[in-house]
Amino acid sequence: MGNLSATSTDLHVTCKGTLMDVRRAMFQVERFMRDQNATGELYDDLNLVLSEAMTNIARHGYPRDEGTISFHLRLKPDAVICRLTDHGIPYRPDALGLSSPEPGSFAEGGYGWFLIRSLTQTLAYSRSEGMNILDFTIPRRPESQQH
Amino acid sequence: MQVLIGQAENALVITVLESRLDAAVALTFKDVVRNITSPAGMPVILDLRQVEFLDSSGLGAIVGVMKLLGPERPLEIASLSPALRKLFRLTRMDTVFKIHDRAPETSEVNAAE
Repeated sequence: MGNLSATSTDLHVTCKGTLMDVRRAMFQVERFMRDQNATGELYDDLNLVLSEAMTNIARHGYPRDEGTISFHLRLKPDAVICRLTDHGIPYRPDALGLSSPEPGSFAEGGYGWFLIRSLTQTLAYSRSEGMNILDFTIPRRPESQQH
Repeated sequence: MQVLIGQAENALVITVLESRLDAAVALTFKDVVRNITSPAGMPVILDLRQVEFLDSSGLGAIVGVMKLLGPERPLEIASLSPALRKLFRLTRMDTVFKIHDRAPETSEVNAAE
């Protein structure tokens, strides 16, 4: 699958824009984070945010599975920073996920952007030369706040 | 996507044998579970002890299964990892499902896929 390059604290992955390729890319993220001894809540949060954002691109950005998704992770002592790019249909995250569905509505979807927003410290979308760019930061949380 | 089906004293226990219950496998999961027959009036406990990662699509599939089973077969959840527990808390699904620390002991275990 795709290209992979990892230096000590960076991971760059390009994969096809399908749900199965997203799943495979996330196994690479798991291995990278484990190699960096970055397990626990920071990895859990990254796993969820990056999976949700890539799933949205695969589902809505590339309805005919025709494109690629790339991301660049940088692991810092206090955070993970990530840039996620694709050439699919533009999206507008500023209007999405401002609240989660009411539990009593038993909604089967509509949680994705809410989760991304809940777990990121910074979140910025831009569109440049036909490319969607999503930059986000996930903070390492103090032990006392874990779960 | 493989699951184990076990009969506990007062519940049917379905154990998901998958480390990632994500968007790529959510529909398959729903299809596998919807084909499992269970007696009315008995809860169905979904044992997630092998599931390390659940995303919103996997969660949506679990909600879908709950709706398919209906009130005669209430769906309950067991063995959430810290990551899954956090997802249930953020989405407030911990107020929808009864959550057990672990699933009850079962006999007559069968596999389905």
